[in-house]
Amino acid sequence: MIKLIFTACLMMSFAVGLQAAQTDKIQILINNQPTTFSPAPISKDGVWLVPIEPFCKQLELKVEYPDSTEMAVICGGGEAELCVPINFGEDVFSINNVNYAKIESITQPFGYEIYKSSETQLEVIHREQLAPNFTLPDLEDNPRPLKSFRGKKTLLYIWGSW
Amino acid sequence: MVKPWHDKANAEFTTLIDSQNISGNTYNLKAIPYGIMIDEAGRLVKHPFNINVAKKETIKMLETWLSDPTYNTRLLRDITPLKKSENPKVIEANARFQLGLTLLKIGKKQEAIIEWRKALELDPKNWLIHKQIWAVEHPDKFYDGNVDYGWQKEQLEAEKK
Repeated sequence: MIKLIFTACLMMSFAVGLQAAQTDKIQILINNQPTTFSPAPISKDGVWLVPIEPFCKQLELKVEYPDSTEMAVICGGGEAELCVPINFGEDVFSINNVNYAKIESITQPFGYEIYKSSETQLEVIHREQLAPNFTLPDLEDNPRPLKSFRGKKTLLYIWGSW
Repeated sequence: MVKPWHDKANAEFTTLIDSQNISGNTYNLKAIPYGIMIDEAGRLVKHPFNINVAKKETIKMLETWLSDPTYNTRLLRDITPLKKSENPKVIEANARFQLGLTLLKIGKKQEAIIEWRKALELDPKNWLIHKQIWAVEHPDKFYDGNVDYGWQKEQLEAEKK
């Protein structure tokens, strides 16, 4: 019981802070397509929250709320169906009767990566769309993962003295 | 071996060294030079393509990519995910090519060449393997001054016969 009250208090304080920060200027692109949600996503202190049901629908994921639990269960992922529980108070927050989740808690388990293209725009990208990563040494023998070049357009020019 | 080329070109870009064909293996390359275009988010926007930066149209295409965000969007609309070859011969050829590179690294040059020749039988159009064999068997044609492309043409003609 003590734990439940503590969780509820945390949720309330978080919700109050978030309401102050709510903005409709935030844009989320899913697989390069601008996507609108109602209600709008929320950003506060670098944490992005999305309304669970509409966001999951865009990713073709299902949401369930098992009885007598403090969690949402997200299922999907094509043929190899996966179900991932996310906990209220930790990754899920109820604000004005809408359930919001931290965006990574939904995207990460289902193979999506997040790229923050500006302060008000996030891109949700499936890993299949990303350039396969590898790590090679530079001329000073420092290991350089290909993904360390993210943030600018990169032409990988593969050449040899042949 | 690479640094003199990098310095001579006054290169301002980052140069990475790939002595084990990791990039070729990752992107299914069978020849070089190849270009791979990756956008700010890390998305592959164009499959590996035979690149020639001496061609005006190549430079124009790259300049358009840098200056026009809609071009990047158009490329993303058309691209399909990069798939690894499922051809067993190609898979075995790649494995033998990698084994040969490792054998060369530990000083087993002849064993390396044997593996590469087996790899080339399995994947005859793989120019990375082809040129690797030539470069190890005839280093004078590759690493003494300029690369002798005339010699390579002669080799090809001789091999066709």
